[in-house]
Amino acid sequence: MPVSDEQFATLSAQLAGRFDEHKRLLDELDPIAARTGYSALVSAAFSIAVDRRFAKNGDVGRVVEFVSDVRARSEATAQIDPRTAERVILAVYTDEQIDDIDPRTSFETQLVLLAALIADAGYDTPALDEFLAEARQVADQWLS
Amino acid sequence: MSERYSQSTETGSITTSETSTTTLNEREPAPDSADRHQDTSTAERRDYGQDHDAAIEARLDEADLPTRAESRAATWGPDATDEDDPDFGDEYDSDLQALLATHDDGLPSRAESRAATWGPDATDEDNEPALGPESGDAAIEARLDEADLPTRAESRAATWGPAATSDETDAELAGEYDGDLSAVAAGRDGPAEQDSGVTGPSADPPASESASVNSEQSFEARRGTGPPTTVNAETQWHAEHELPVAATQDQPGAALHTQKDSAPASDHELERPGQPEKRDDLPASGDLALWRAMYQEFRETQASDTGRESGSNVVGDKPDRSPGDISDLPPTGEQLLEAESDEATRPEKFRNKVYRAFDDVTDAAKDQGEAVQNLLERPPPAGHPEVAVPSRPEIVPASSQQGPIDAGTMVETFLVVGVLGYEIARWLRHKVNSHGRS
Repeated sequence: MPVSDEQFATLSAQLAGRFDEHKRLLDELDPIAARTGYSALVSAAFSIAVDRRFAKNGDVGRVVEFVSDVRARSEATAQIDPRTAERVILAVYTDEQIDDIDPRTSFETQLVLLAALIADAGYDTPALDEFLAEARQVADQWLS
Repeated sequence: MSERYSQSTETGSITTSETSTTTLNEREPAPDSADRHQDTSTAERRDYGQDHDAAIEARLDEADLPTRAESRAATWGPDATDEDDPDFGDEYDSDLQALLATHDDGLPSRAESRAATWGPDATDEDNEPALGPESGDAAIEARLDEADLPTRAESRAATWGPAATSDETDAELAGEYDGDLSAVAAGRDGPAEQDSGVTGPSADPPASESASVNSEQSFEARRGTGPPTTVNAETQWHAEHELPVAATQDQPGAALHTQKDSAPASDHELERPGQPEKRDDLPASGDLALWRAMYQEFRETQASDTGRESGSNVVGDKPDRSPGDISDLPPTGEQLLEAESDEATRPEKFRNKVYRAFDDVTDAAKDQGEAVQNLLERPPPAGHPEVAVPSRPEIVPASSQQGPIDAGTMVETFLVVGVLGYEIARWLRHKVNSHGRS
């Protein structure tokens, strides 16, 4: 089952800063469909964002610095486990294995780091739409 | 017989004869020796007259032709097996006449033989001699007039000895060719240099394998479907080594013949049936061993000549490297496509590591809603973070203690002195009171 329009609109609203709309759409999502579709969309967007930022020059030091910076931005972001965050990032473009990380923990960490990556990238609306379209395409490939 | 196949495919003009005879050998089982003695050929009657009939019948009754196993044992030794012999099945001992009757013309055509051997799609491109317009019966007859061929009796005698007789197969075949062959035999001085032991007419499919081939080659020659002067390469080799090519028969009149013996140069060296017999002795066991060794040598020589069985490299091969080694070659198209697709589907690899479905996705997204909102609402300031630069060195000299007393120090001093005075006064009062009571 590919990513639905509702799932795409939910993540798009969140990353665009339309938080009220995001909360409303998130409440309306089918939890069964979101189990695969929404999580795949978030993971695909996270993978693309990490690939764009760290794949070309992604030494571990930059990852550690990025994670510590994200945790320092707010009390809420400080709750993420730094080691888990670093491993999830490294898993995208290295041989790091994260099978031992709980899927929900991995998803939550990816969602927080995705927001930080999007905020740091400073995408405008067309760039963000292009990024999300690519993420949806990858997610559809994963789910096909 | 399979060895003969492989040989025939590499020896040019003999291919047709070899192939066809093999087919005939498989199609037309050799009649049992006992059956061969039952009838006397009409051709023989024509050749030798009615006077010979009684003598022939008598000799046939007395003849004790060897069985296939006996011939094999005499040729290859007692340990020879029949694993290379074609399996004729139940029809082997049946009457050849009945088998031949299944065909309209008695024998299969060249095309039929080729189809039976190599399948219906077989063509004659494998070095099969193109007889062209001369393949017709008339042309063959004309060629036979010019050919220097032995008579049937000569070939039979050369192959099987002077005691060999004809049978019903000769009668069957004689209906087509015998008259002309007699004319040819009458007009010639004797057998030519052609190996009559190989190509000479012999209606009896003999018990031994090589003799069977010889006989069946004669079928082809008489039908005109094969070269009339076919030369077997193996026979040539035997001739060069003076090896016997005719099969042995461990009975009187069927002894081994060497190439020289089996190919008499003239008629007077041949003995027709009914005439006094010249019988060779059976070969000694030492001769058999020698012949067997020479035959193995021949096989090895043949294999080394062709290079097929030995698996030798062909010209241009590099023996010091494997043919599958393509390390020094540019990548193939498939490899380029794989490299391209590997780059294109890189995020696809993330799936197995990053994406894992789980329950309560929406709850997890709600839980992290505040953190995400904080990150997106308060992006980090552009540029580098501010770094405080101290205006003075971190290590400073100790300040002098000799300065004037400030007000704080005075207050602190008065406070300490006051507290100490109060405590002293209280202690003294306590002492005085205690002494006063005592």
